[in-house]
Amino acid sequence: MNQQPLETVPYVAHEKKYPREIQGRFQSLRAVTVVLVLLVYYGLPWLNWQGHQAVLFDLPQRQFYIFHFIFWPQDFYYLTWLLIIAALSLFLITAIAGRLWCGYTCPQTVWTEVFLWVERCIEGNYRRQKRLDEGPWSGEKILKKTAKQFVWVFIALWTGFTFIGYFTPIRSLFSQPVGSWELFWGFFYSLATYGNAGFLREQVCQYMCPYARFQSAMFDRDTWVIAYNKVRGEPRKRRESMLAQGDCIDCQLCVQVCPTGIDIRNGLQYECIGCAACIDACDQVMEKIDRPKGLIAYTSEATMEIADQNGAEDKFLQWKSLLRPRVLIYTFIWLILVVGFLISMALRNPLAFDILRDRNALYQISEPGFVDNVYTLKIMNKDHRAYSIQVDVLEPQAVLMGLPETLFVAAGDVYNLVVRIRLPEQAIRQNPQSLKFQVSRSMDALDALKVVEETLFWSSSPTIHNTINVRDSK
Amino acid sequence: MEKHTKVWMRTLGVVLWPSFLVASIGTMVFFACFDPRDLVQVATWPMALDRRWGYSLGFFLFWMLTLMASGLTAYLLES
Repeated sequence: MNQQPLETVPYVAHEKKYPREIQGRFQSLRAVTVVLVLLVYYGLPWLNWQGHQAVLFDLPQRQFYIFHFIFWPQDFYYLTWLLIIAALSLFLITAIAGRLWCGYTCPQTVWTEVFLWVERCIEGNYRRQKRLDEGPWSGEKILKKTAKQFVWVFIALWTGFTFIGYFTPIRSLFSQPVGSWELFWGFFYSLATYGNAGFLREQVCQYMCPYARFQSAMFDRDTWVIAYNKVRGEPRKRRESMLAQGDCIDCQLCVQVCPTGIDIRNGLQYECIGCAACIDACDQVMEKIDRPKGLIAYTSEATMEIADQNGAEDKFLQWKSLLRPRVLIYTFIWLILVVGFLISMALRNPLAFDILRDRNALYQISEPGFVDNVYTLKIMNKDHRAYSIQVDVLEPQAVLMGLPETLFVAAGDVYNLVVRIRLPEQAIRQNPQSLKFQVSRSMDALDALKVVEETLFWSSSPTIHNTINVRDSK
Repeated sequence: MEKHTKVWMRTLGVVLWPSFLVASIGTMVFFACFDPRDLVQVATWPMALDRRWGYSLGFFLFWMLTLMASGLTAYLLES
């Protein structure tokens, strides 16, 4: 891969690219994925599920709603787990087929495509755009530029608005006054959208994206990349009169359609985002000049080498390379993580509690011969309906004080219960000693649940007088 | 002259974006473990912040730190 370290690349002033639009099977596929990403992004906040917004990251309440599930800060490891799965998926896909992510689903690509499309609708094709930019400020230019900016700003603002809709119920944004932070983040996101998709575009991929740089570490000789078949194409034939040589007629179409402005015939470059526009462009030309398609195609280094030797491509080998160790190992780990995640989600306990010790006093002696410890139980009902909760202490001689007559915890709520545990001195074996609480819900056998958590019970018992750092330990 | 400004802009982008990414991850991990409403209660200086303020200020604190680290690195590399 032709990837030079930054400092050796001579600085070339950035010039605006005017990618020429092209039709073809890969561009149709891209259009589908782009529309899907947009539909999901703009549509998801409007979707309701069981009486709440289907996807809502309610930060003020510290609860994430994702369809059927409600996630709590305590479930953070699920998010970490998901991120690891996502990262590994990216590794796997990159190892198999290169930068599919970049070309088809990366938000940078998707929103750049949207902004490009607007530009094309208003200013015309790439030639007209260039002429307009280079020409003087005429009435037409002012009108077109204003119209374009107007639409761009509208899209950016709508994107920012949708963004806050993931954190504050989107429908309430119309009916209630919008908070100052919501407003700030909405504009922040709008500005980022406008800047990234309207101006920076491929520069984000080239200079700012970490993935674009380290993806080459996941590449190997069998990775499918977009490549130009040099053996077939060279030497390029410029004019009809020239002697029949390679298939490449040097029409420059592959360069014109490239959103990052590279020439794929110079080999794979780190600027290539894998959008396959050059494949579509070249296939069209090959069809016109009556040559087989695929002068530029998804292929791998290994496939090309074999094709060099045998004079023909071996599609079977290209598929067989999917069974190489790197792919198998990634797939294996990926499967374990995904299956583990699904099992863990299915077995997720909707009832949970944390025990916090009283910060002020380690223990109290309210009556001679008895030791008291005070705890706060944070009982979480992560389910979709309210439950009657029972709290027990699993210590034969312990007395549990402070329980209310009935204890109901509403759906998705936390109940802070302060309890006092009284233990006679003769029941104290150790200082501190283990103490177990059990929280259970509903008598109904079907959804009965029990959770046991352990904490420490402190006393004045002289047997072990370890009072150092007593405050810090649980 | 213009060339100089452009290099400077690019460095700015390279510093801003990765520090933003890392600060976002830091904010997520940090606030998954700590509730800003609890934190203000044990703060050295009296603070009255709700969670929105807590998250936002926390994010900018993280971003400021990562920005300074990235910025210094970029500065040292260039000078």
